[in-house]
Amino acid sequence: MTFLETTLFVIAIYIVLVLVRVILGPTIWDRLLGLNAISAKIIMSIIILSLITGQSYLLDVALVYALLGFISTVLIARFIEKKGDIS
Amino acid sequence: MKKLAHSISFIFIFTGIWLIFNESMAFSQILAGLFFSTVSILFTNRYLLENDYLTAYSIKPEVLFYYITYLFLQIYRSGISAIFKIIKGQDAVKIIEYETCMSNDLAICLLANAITLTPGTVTIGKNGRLLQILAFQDENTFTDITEGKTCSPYEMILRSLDS
Amino acid sequence: MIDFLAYLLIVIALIFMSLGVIGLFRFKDFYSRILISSKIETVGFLTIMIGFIILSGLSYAAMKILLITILVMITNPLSTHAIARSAFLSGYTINQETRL
Repeated sequence: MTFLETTLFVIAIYIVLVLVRVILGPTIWDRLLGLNAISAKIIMSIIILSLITGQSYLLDVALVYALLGFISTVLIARFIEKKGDIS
Repeated sequence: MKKLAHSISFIFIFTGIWLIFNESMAFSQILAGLFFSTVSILFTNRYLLENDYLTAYSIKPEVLFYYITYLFLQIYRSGISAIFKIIKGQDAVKIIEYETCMSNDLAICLLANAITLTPGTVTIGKNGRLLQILAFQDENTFTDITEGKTCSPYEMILRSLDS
Repeated sequence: MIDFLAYLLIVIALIFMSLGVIGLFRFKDFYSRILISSKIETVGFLTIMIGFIILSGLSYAAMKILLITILVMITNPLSTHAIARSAFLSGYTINQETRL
């Protein structure tokens, strides 16, 4: 394995560990925190994949993923804060 | 006249982003980037914004540069201090209330953003000039300031916005 | 030589991220978890992205990675702030879990 493939493997292990926190999490905000951390780690994995294969269009996917992760986290947080009343 | 200068600088920034995403510097791409950034700026100013945000959200480049440099150092300092907290396992937290000495809305928002990024503190509420900060029990940067009537280092940098 | 520097930065970022994962399991209260995890997350992300930029050299890919880094550095504190504010306004008090 090259260095970058090893890095990808380690990040995958971290994602699985954070997923355990998301499943165990006593409150819903713990699950949101885990979702935020997983989204940051997936952006890193996509960039590593783009560096390994040498194809730069994968970076656009990473950019869209960053925007969607941010919007979904803020939307769910606001939804819980208003107790489901989104008007 | 100032508004026009702001718009032109934003058009050049957006054209740069367009060129980076298309990965080419051809003349047709530069023309397309100028066209689309002009259309998007005009459309946003005309239909999407309620007030005149171009003058309200203006920040000087040198202030932005100092702010980013200071923030960069603080992020690494906070990372090192968080490592010791994880090893020792301290987990006592508290909520402190802090009133800034600035009145500009943009400056207060940048201050709250900086507080969230740095040593063991997260801003959880903003009500006018009063900020509610979640911090570790042994954090004393902001409690010292509340008694001493001086500004924190961030506020010294952002002070020039406050005119 | 310059690749070695990038590899060193990536290894440092991996160590920071592993400490962040440990912190998620070690602390007993939600507020201390969010304080630790958001900080470590930011430091790890910034360090690993600088490593990737050095590794990809002077190209369009490096500039795209720089844009992604700026975007995430702006949005990451905002989402942390949204989660903490949502917990605070919903009436979650300090040390709620240990007191039960």
